[in-house]
Amino acid sequence: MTGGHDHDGARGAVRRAVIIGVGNENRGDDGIGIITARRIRRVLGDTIPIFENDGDGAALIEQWRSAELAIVIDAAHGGDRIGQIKKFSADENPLPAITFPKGSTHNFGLIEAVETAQALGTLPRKLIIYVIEGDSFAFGAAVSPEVLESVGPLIEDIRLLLRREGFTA
Amino acid sequence: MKSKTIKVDYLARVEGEGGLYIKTKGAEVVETKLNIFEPPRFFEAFLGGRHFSEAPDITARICGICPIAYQMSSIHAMERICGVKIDGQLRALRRLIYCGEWIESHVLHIYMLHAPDFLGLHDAIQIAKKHPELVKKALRLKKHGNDIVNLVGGREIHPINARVGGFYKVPRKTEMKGLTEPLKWALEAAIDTVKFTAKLPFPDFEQDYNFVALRHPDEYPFNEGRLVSSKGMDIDISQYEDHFQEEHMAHANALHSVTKSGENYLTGPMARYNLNYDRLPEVAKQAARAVKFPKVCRNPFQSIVIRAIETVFACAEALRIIDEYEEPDKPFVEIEPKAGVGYGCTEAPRGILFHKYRIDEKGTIQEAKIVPPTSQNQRTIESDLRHYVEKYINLPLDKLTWQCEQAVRNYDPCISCATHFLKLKIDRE
Repeated sequence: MTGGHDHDGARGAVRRAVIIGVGNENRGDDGIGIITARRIRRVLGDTIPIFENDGDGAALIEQWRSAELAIVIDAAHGGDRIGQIKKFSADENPLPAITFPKGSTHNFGLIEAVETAQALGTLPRKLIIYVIEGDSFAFGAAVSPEVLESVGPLIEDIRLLLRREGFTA
Repeated sequence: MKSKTIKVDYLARVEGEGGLYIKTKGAEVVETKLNIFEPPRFFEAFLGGRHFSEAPDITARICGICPIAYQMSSIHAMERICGVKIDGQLRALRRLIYCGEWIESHVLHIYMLHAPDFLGLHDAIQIAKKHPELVKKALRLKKHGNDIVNLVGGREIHPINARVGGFYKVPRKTEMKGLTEPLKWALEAAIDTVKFTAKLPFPDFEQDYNFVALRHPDEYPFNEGRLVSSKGMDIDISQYEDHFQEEHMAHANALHSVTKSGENYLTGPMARYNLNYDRLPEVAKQAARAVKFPKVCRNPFQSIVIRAIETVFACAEALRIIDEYEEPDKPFVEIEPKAGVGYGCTEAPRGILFHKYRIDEKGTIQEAKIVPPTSQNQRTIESDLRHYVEKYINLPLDKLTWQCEQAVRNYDPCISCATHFLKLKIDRE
């Protein structure tokens, strides 16, 4: 079954904040959430649990469970400028119309996970979703240079968010 | 004569990209096609030239839902070529990781994908709003399956710990014991799931299927057994190609598997249960008896109950293995390649997954063939739809259309494996 994977060795620690990269690294720009999560790990080390998720919404609900702050990074495919970063909060109603590339498990992906967790009352106090507009989502495709160029500024924004919310010094 | 077209452009809650087209003329169904337009992914081609030890990790990438099945079928095929049989705790660990995959897959399908059909709801979000405790229980139950895969497989997505000869690393006894209490809860939750599913409303629809599944002398099947059918077939898995063939259909990127005489057959939970009821542990039989579920079921809509019974089995089997676990001295048996042809056939959540490999004396793969369960069930899904529409032709179009989608979801088809969304179009002339 598809699911998430705790890479950080912080399992069992109190999860006050989590970062989740979503996507499929074998499908071109769809892997940018995973790539960004791995780069954040290099910056933050083990201070924040960082998960990878291949689009399984049920696993997402589990990964952000009990977190005060969850940051989710995914790719979008909605016709915006390639590499454009969009940021929104899960408590926005309605959620913005983001078009995600196909690849979620049985069509139960990020948005469905947000709506289900809302219904269950298990959403983190704050759930911030970043999406980077991608271009190519073909099997085996390389990540687009414009998409890769967005990773640096995105990580900087996430660092500022974590600091502002009191999770990092 | 009046003809009708029923068309659904997007059938949700299945894995993969495909479509469905049904055309009726009067009371007759003249055309039924499960169109699979997910592009072929050529896994068999790029296995060629790779080392035999790489097959488990390469084939695990075919599917995010059932990577264990791909690993297990490829590993058993390679070990068969090399004349090695793995037993003891390493064999038990293979059954344990399969338990985890079945729990994850079955629970996701029961609660999030299939149950909405029976409850008249469009998706899992609606169930979460209407029955939040049910969905919370489902997510917790599924998580305990994930935990098994995580521990034994190294990670939940595309596990990396299984290898030809065993595992790269085996769990510590204390780590295994940590799964016990959660799995005791899961077993009770699975029994409750049987009760929940048995009360769902099922259409009156039985078919005379040719069920095909593995059968083991003592166990409910995962990795080993002879291939048997409800029509009397009883063969070694090496004889698979003598009895089944693949046909290319213009409307599908996945090959259709049929018997050598061109007949469709059915693999998966319903086939396994019907052919192996006597191999279920008492707790699973008791769960079935408690809801008066028969030992043989021919109504595909009731496959949701069978998935729940199999989840009871998987939880009980996992608890048994964990209870008897002793850490093996070595995590794997060293295996030297031998030139030859070998076969692996294991029970993925959706049915039998057949692998065939030919390797040379250096262990380089010369030929690979993979037949996933959804390819094998495609023809039967089309047959079900034809007969279902014939029986219920007078239903209002929207209801008939929904039930056709539901009939497809009975099979929890994994189109990604077979070649990913389904479009349904029914023409009524």
